[in-house]
Amino acid sequence: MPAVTQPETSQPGTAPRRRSFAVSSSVAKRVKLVDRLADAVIRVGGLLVILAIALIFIFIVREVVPLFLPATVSAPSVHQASSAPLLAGTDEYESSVFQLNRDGAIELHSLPRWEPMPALKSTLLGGRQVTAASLAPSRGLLFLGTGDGHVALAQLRFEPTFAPDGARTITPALKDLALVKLPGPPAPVSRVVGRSSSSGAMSFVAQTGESRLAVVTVTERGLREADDSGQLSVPEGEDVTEGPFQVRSVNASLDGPITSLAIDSEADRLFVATALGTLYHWQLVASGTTPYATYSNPGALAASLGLRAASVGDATRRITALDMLIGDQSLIVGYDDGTLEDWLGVRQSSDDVLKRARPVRLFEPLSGPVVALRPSGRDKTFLAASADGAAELAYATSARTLVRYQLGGRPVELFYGAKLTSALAVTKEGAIDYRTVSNPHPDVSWGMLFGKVWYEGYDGPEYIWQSSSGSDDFEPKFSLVPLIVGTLKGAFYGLLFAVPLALFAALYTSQFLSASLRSVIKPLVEVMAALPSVVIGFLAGLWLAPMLEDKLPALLFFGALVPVVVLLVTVAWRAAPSRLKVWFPEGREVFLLVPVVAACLWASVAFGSSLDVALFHGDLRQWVFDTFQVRVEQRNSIVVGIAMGFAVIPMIFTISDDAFSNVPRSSTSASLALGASRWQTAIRVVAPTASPGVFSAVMIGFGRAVGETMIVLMATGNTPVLSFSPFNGMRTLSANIAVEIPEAPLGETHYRILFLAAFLLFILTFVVNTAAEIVRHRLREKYQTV
Amino acid sequence: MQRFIVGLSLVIATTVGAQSAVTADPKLPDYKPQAGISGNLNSIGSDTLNNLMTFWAESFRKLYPNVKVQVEGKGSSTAPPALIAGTAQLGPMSREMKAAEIDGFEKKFGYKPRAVAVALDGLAVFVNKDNPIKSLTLQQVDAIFSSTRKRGGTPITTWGQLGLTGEWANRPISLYGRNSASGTYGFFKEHVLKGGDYAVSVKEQPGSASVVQGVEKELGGIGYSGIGYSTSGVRAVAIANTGAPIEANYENVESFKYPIARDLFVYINMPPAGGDKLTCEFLKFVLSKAGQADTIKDGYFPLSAKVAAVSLADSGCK
Repeated sequence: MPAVTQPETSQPGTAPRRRSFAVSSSVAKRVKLVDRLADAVIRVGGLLVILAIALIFIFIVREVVPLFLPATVSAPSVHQASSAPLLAGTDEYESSVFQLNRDGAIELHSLPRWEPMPALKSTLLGGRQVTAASLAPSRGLLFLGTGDGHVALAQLRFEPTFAPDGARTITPALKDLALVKLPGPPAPVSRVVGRSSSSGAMSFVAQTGESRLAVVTVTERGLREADDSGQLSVPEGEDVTEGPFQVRSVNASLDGPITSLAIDSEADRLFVATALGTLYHWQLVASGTTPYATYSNPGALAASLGLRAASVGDATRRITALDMLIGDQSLIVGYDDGTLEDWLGVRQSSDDVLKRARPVRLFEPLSGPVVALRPSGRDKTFLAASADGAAELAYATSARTLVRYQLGGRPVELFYGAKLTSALAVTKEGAIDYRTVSNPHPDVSWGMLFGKVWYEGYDGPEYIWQSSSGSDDFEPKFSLVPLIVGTLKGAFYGLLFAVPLALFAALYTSQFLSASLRSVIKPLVEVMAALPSVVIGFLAGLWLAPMLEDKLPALLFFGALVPVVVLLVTVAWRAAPSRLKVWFPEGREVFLLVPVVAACLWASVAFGSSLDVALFHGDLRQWVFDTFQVRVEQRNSIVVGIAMGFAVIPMIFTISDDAFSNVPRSSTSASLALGASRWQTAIRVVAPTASPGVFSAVMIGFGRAVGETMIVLMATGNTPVLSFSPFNGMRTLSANIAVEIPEAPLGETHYRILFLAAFLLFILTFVVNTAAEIVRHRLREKYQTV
Repeated sequence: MQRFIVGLSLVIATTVGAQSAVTADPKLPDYKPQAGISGNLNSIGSDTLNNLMTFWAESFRKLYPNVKVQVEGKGSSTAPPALIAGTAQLGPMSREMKAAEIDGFEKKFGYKPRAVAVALDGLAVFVNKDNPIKSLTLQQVDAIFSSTRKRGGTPITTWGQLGLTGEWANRPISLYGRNSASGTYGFFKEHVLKGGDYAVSVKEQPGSASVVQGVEKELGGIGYSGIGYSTSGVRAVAIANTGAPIEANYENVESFKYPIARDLFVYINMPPAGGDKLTCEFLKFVLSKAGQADTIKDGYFPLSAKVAAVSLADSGCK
């Protein structure tokens, strides 16, 4: 084609107007008008597209931002009690505050104006004084230790009743359960810590005297063993370790007076700290009343494990407060210098059945000795307060302090509202400090989303995605790393399959194939793109995956066989006599390879199994497992790679084919004229000139693969594993959103994190596409001269 | 097509035949259709209960041709959001609602949702029918499925570690489980893994049917689902807690001797002033002799007359 016509073909719309003859002025005006109109429509359309994308972006950001807003605590509402209460709390509706006085009376005040309500008192107590008390808030269980060695169990309930107009009245009621006589001589109960288990059993550990401890478990059935006055007791000097009412006396020789106690809800793990700084650990079910482990100088353990720098305070640090978080895995340890740690049970070796405790998470220290702890009943948040009135709300999993505030007096007891909306503190001076708390997303921090976290029950820090569960004591694990890796892994295997096939196919169709065939094949491949990805995913998951499972050796064999055989055949073809060559003229040689590839397929299926027997003892999956310790899953990355490749091939093919075809004929003609072969021309002239287009084809293919949902959803097991092995599956960001959005409650952390995943996906494709565009421009400038 | 139908009816015949030992409690009330019942009833929730809800919906529609019932089962965790949004009147769940879910409901309506037990299930651990294993202890199941092993025990990855020999000795265990929206996922996690975490190699399936299908297709497979999804290609192994292994049959499940027996629930929105009549009639039907006969037909276990009466009282329907 002569070079003069080049501008004309590149700007076909402007060419006729330049020829000034034969165009009347009215036509010219009309054309101008239409031109301007089209211009306006296109501009508006473009702006609307940008607006729509911006709106989506704003919507996503709006859902994500609250995740990172800090927790807040309101100004206090303080009530001065007539006598210093042992403990205080609110009902779950926050309609009233109750306080337990030393005479056993439960005083109630309505919120928000602290108007007195009728008091309640357990009839079990009689005239006894309450010397220590504990509250298990989940069921409103009160454990009241008396001055004569008894513990009274009662349940404080708040029953809502509804008027016909829907108005709610909340009526407090106290239900007496049992009075337990502790073993040993009657002595005032100095400490009691009570818990309630998921099966409904009530357990407590009570301290009488210096170091005499009793661990008692009462089940619902056990309550029936009480005598007429509601008293439960066991014969003197005997432990009962089975049945509905269990008592264990723990008379260990401790090295000093007890400073704090903690027990789990199953009355199995018991922790006792002494004034000399030792922490004792019992496993009551497995190893009875002898301590399972003793940690001397626990305050120095964190430094010796390398969790913090060693300091002079390490040796003298004493435990002043202990409590266990919901789920019975985390032991929160507070020291006399304000240090706060979370101890988890960790196996020393993989054969261990019991776990020794060790510090794992460290919190920002308080300013004085930690005197009170209160775990939440819903998640891994807890309240802590020090003797000088500093209080903080912290989240255990991320080891993050959510909010700090200052109390008016010296706190002795804390309470955290059932719905996590209020915090209450009782001070030594008898004041009740009530605040509302807003803390909707305690479980999010950058470290949790992208870093390794040491979760409860694990033997080390890991990246884990496990977002929900059927119970409240679950620790949600929101690491996005396995999902990001899964996304990249899926895209990688998809492109690994698609890019070579699509690029070489495009190069061949554009440079070698006869024009008539090309006009058939190109639209045909483009039709592939019209195949819905659900269909591809369905086929991949239900047909390809089971088939590949049987024929995996055959597939691997096929992959190795085809290039070799094709090369051999082409070399042989060149040497073939010219009368044979007539059968497949230039531009149609590809038909020669169709039977060759078919023969390869047949051969690999036919001999695949015998090859399998020869190389892998007849079971490739078993061989992979034995050699690499990797399970070959049925729905693995190979299946996804093929299916995803199938979805992106049309896109990469058609864009790169256009790029190859748009290389000016003048360049290729020149190259051919100078004596280069067609292959040399294709590789040395066409490919570099078309490289910007090819690059953007691959990048657009990558963008599509990253965002692809249905194929990965249906063709992988959706296992959020962190592994690049081709033999197991993956969970991608997009599939994860599709899987979990129906179960994520609107506005909760899980829901917002799914939006964060969407945001990441958005950013990822945005960055990839922008980078592709920039690189494409650079490359284009570079090869413009060609 | 004809062969398919014959096959299907054979399957139905065999499942019905296998379950014929269990019959609904004759003391259960008979359901008497009421006049003037019509409208739409939507059920969103448990996949375990999905087939059973469909059975009930069909039988219920035979009594009330003017009632439309739609059943959607993607997992128990989808029930609370649907009840809160009001898109469903019935929220079937194979686990109890979490406190946080109840909070969400209460925040919107001011009262708590009501749980109505509608059937019994022995959560089954399925292996391939050709797998020779007889029974498993809870500790073993925990060691197979969890990464935390809260019941103690050492990690188990091959069938040989469970005592199988020969070609099974080195065969890897392939794990099938439900997705996190599932109540069965939550129940299994809480009661078998003791609140631990699943191993990442558990293939999370969107429905119980695909769990069973996966185990059916793979020799080394193991998976868990409601007993109602049992097929001829899989076998439920007996489960031992501390004592002898216990089969998941009616007797053991009804007495809760089977260690992972559970109630299946339908959660409803029942205002204190009294609720939707249609929902109540549906629940009355479910808790009647005919409704519990459907339960048996689907492979789950029926409630006794006593428990059904308690359930009906729980529902708040008059």
